[in-house]
Amino acid sequence: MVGFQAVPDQRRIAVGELSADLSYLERAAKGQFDLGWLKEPGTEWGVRATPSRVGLTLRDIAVGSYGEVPERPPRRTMAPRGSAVDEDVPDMGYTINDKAQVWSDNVMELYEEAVSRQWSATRDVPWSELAELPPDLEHAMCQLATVLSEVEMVAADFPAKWLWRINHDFVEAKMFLCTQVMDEARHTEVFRKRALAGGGGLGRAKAVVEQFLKLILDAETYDEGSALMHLLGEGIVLSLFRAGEFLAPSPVEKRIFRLCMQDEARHVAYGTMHLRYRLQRDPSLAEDFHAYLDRGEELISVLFTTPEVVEPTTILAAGGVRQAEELALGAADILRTRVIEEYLERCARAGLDRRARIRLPGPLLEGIAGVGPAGRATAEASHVA
Amino acid sequence: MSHDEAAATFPSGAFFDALAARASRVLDFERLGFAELRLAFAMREPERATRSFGVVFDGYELSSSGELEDLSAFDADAVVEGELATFAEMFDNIATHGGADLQHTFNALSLAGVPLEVKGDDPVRRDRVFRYAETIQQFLDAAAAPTGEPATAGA
Repeated sequence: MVGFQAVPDQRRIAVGELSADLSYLERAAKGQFDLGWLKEPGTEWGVRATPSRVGLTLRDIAVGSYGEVPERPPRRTMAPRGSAVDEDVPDMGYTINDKAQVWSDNVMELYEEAVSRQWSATRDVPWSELAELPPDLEHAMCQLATVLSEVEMVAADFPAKWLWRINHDFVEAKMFLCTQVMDEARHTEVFRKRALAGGGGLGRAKAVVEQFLKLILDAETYDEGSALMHLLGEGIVLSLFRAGEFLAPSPVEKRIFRLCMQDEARHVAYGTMHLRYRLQRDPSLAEDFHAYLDRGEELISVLFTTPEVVEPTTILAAGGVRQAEELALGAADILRTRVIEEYLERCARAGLDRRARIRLPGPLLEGIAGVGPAGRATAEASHVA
Repeated sequence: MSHDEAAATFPSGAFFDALAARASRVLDFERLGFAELRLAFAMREPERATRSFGVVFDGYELSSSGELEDLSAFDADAVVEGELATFAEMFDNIATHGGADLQHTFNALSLAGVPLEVKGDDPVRRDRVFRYAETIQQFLDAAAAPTGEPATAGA
């Protein structure tokens, strides 16, 4: 506990390791200010940021030394990057102190975009236009909303878990992750609201879903969790949001899925370009990332065979249970193909070719171009085992 | 809709010029949030050369690049490609219903890659279409919005 302590000099009091100079109050009362911070600020003076057409952005203020993000900051402090920092500042204990561990070249733009494109699940969804659906369709929508409400919050929990560990000199990346926390809170909110708004309520939460979320939350490194979440998990959810918009039975769901899609695509854009940034600076990490995604994909293959995950979209696409039984998994196959193809494209953009290695079983890879036999065989073997 | 806008026939550069001008008036860009996107529409016709049109979302502003002589020179983030008839049906639907119905939203038409397909060499640039999904839909829906009023009250 910090406490006041009398010291021999009656004009000083000790507060933990610091001391307060009471004589300063006497001098200041006479107008005898210190002004050292003003006369010799120790920072760059005269650097003026010019607003761009949308206002004063992070990119606009990345001028002079203030725009220089160190590869490895000299301190672990909350002091604003570019400020003059006392030598005796306490160590905040950050564990992520390499820029490449969190940075991406688009992170400033994505932060600005996120702030600019915030929306309200209460105000911006036309809830009064919610359609009364046949019970099977309402059940399907509620089950889909349940899964989405469940998975979205991990994308808030994961960055929140790591935020305090990230060096403050990478503040733009931290700020972007803060927007993601808010985005995901809103997604959790909007799907919970949708499940309850139509009278159907929440559906089933499956262990396999929780296992995937646990894999992300328990990741031993930010690298591992980011690859699993930003690239794999959110890439799949982005495709699921696109499918949700396509399947939406009313303008309410249309709007929900389009607005969520916008947010999710930002997170995927960060994840893809972050991984690219990371691998460009240390290509030797590629095998580590492959291993993270191997584990994630193996769980995803279970998700693709989980009725509570697959069947709601199939029923919504077909227009009911009876119609879905006739169409079988045709609609789900289209979605699955799209999900996997887009995921593989993003991996390639990040510098990680997964086509020869993807750990999904053969039946889930039908229709995917250029998937190598090694990954398919491995996946099939692991499933047989 | 002004006389000039009403007179612009589809497909033409004038149609997209008019649509961009109209959307610029009726969309609440500050509520939607800013967007950075170069989007091209490539329309195939039987036994005719594909015709392409470009629009540019630049912050809170929107402009048409009209008909594109050289699609690659436009440097699109994403190209929406499909039969001319599909685009015509989409805009007819928007005009008829005051906005796309459930089956004719941009995403619904392009999700499966048919009848429309969103293409792009760089998936991160292509994914901008998803980052601005609501803006793009409101832009297209502006083809039916009353002049001088926001396309929708929402985000």
